[in-house]
Amino acid sequence: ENLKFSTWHPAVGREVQTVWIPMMDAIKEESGGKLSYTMYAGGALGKGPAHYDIIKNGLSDLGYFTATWTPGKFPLSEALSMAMWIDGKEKAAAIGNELYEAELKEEFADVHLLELNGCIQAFLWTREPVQSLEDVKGLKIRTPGGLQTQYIKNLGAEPVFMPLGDVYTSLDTGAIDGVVTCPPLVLAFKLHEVVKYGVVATFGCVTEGLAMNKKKWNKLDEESKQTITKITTNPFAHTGGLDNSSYQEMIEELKAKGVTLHNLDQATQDKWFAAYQQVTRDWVASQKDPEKAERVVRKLAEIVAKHGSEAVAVPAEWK
Amino acid sequence: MEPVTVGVIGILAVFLLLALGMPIAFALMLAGFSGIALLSGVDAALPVSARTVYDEAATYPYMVIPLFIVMGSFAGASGMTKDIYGCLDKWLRILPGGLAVASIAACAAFAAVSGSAVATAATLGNIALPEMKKYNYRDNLATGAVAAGGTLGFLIPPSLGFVVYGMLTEQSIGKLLIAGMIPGIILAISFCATVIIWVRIKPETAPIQATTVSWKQRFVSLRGVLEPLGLFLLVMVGIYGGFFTPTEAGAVGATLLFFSVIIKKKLTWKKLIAALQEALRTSVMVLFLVAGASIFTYFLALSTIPMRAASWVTALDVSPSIILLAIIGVYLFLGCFLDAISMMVLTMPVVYPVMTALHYDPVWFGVVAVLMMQAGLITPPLGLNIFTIAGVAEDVKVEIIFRGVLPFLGAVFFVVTLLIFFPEIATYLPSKMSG
Amino acid sequence: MVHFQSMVRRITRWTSFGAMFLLLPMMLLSATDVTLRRFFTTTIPGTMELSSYMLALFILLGLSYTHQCKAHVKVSFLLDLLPLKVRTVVDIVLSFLCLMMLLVLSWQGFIIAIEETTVSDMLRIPENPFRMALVVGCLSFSLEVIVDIISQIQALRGN
Ligand code: NA
Ligand code: NA
Repeated sequence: ENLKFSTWHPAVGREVQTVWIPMMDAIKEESGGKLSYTMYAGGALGKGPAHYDIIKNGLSDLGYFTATWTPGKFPLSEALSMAMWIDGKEKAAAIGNELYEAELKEEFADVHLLELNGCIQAFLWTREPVQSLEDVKGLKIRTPGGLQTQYIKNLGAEPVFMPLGDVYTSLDTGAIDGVVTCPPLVLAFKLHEVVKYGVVATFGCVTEGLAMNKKKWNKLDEESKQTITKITTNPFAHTGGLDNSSYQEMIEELKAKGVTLHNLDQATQDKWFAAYQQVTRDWVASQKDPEKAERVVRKLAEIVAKHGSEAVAVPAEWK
Repeated sequence: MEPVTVGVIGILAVFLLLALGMPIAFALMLAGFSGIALLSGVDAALPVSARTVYDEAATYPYMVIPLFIVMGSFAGASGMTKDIYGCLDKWLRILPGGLAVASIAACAAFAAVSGSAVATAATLGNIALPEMKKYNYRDNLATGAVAAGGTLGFLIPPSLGFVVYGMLTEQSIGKLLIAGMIPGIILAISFCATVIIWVRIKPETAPIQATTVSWKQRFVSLRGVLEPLGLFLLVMVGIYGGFFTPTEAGAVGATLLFFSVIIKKKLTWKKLIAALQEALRTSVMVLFLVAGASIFTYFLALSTIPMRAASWVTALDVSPSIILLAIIGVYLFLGCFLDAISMMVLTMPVVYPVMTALHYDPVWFGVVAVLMMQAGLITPPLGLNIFTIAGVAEDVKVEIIFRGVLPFLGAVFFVVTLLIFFPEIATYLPSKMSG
Repeated sequence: MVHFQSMVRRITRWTSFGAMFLLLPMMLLSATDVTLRRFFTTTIPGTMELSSYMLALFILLGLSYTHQCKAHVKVSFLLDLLPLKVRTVVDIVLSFLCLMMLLVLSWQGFIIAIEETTVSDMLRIPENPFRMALVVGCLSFSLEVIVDIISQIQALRGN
């Protein structure tokens, strides 16, 4: 059986090279060659935001989608993109999978979901050092969208939206003052050449996941299903791609390239995260079923704590 | 069936439907739709077309297309073209074939504010052809110069050619536009040189004019080129320096020209409607075509043909330049039958992976590709710019124009050759851009 | 037939007229936004998403107008070599194929539009009305193609 795997990640990128190809190779090997694959990277079968539908409709058999890019389509799963400390995708996937099992199953009913994850924590990268909330006030900051836009607003800065490809020049010329994004993307877009300072205060990131077409899944035999499940439930842990050790490497690489990472003092950090917590309260209140949303947030805080981390965007009253 | 077999049948189906006269966008959509249905199932094929057409239409950066078109229309409405031509005529009249040289220079100047080759040819044709007729220029030189000069609109930024290439290959449109500047200027100069050589060999094609122009008149006339030149510099420096994206540059340029025509009281309701209609027609044509191409590209990807073509070509025991020349040859051939944007849309899905597999610089290849598409605008039997000029100069036969542009076609190949030996002509400026 | 044709023409004119004027706000919005961003520390929130929505309407509602102007590019010279009658038959077949494709686009576009729950990121404007513009555009386009088919059949009979 040949499986079509689709992702918008570029073919030469870290994700494809260190996670998706090794993962599909592992499936091939484990199945004794019964399951082979064709890799469609770089959005060969469709643009980024269309990926969930590509899998749902069977243009591709399985693939990776970014839930945050279609706001409103997976409302409660946005919780996974809330600010928490995540320094490796294997941890993000462990948390995401647990929250999915507990609360989020309905949102992905039309595919066979293999795995759900948040992402490696995003930071604020700026041209000038940021040490306090005062320094953030009035800055024009490129937002990845989603909850991060609200975080930037509540911190007193001005969120600006533009394609990631335009960020480098805009930072270089001072059209914007900073960008909120995760360390891998800073490296991929060479942003370290134009932003020399990073604030070590998590902004959270996006909600993403690995899904398989339902029909295709149902056609597989039990053994193949087991093989796929085993490997894809936590592809990052299985392949070691984008896990904590590669996160550490990336941070070292950024430092070596002249980026100064700055930790906030406790008082500043508390104020900083208090700005996020109001966003979470507003988010819960704005959901169709606020009670359920609150339950998701509570559950998230519980799971994150269990994995030895902290969901900083969750207000104290829900922890 | 093997995916590759389905892919080959799909490609043949597109060519059959094209030959029978189906709109290209529909031919691509139908073949893509049927191919996806065969390779991934009907359930997958049904929604993908509708989703893709919307998604392409709702992509913010593509707003640059109507903006580049409407810029040219506003510039035309403002009467700017007359001033540009008047000025260049006063400066260049003394050269052999001076009026034709001035027409080409004016085309280049107008190209700097207009995204479309046809608009450039039509606008300048209306002004320059009567003038050349008055001074007894031969029809072949006069129409050839304007038809060829008009193609500069496609190369000199703002240019639809680069926008579409960037859309299809996911290259930075800003870098491509900047990359087109120097080759565009070189081509304009080559066109002028072509006229001069032609007239030197056959002086009877362009009688010498007795009238003289004073230096004062010349300098006064410079006012006419200040506005387009200033606007061009603002837009290009803005893109080059990263002050704004190509889309924003298009918006700023169009807005400035819009207010300029309003202030000059040159904007009638009729002209506004005509400008908007032109922008609508061209943008819808381009985006529907690109949507069709995307659907077809998804199908081709499923057939694995682009991947295999790329690995086949890289495994071939010939030098990459032979393959490059072969591709240029194919473009020359296709250019005879297809219009520029369709050619790009039809070939890029296979040609681009091959070129990147051979490690050609994507921005450099963009310039070469756009030059070849541009050549297609003036090759028989289907040359969009020829027909445009034939429409403007009603008393001139199409064959005369085709003969008239042949020397200019030579100039295009001269520039392509130059680009192959000195790629820096295209890559130097973009390499200095940040990002 | 004449009545039907003039009705179709009117629908196309109306939709395209609405569509083309959207270019002015698109142009002004982006120009203002970039000016504010460069020279004042502020932006217009949602410029990009508003522009994308307007562009979608602009393009989709302009589909049938572009067909009416014969501006969807095609290659016709090979066909010119065939006898008129054969040409007309080919035209009819191709028109039917186009019509089929347009009906698939309308039907699927409608399903996608009603199922769509996505909203825009900053202003939370629902996407489905804009997706519905594909249905309107393609149906109006289909009507134009039906008019073509009727006149092609009439031409065939006339021969
Ligand atoms: Na141009
Ligand atoms: Na041609």
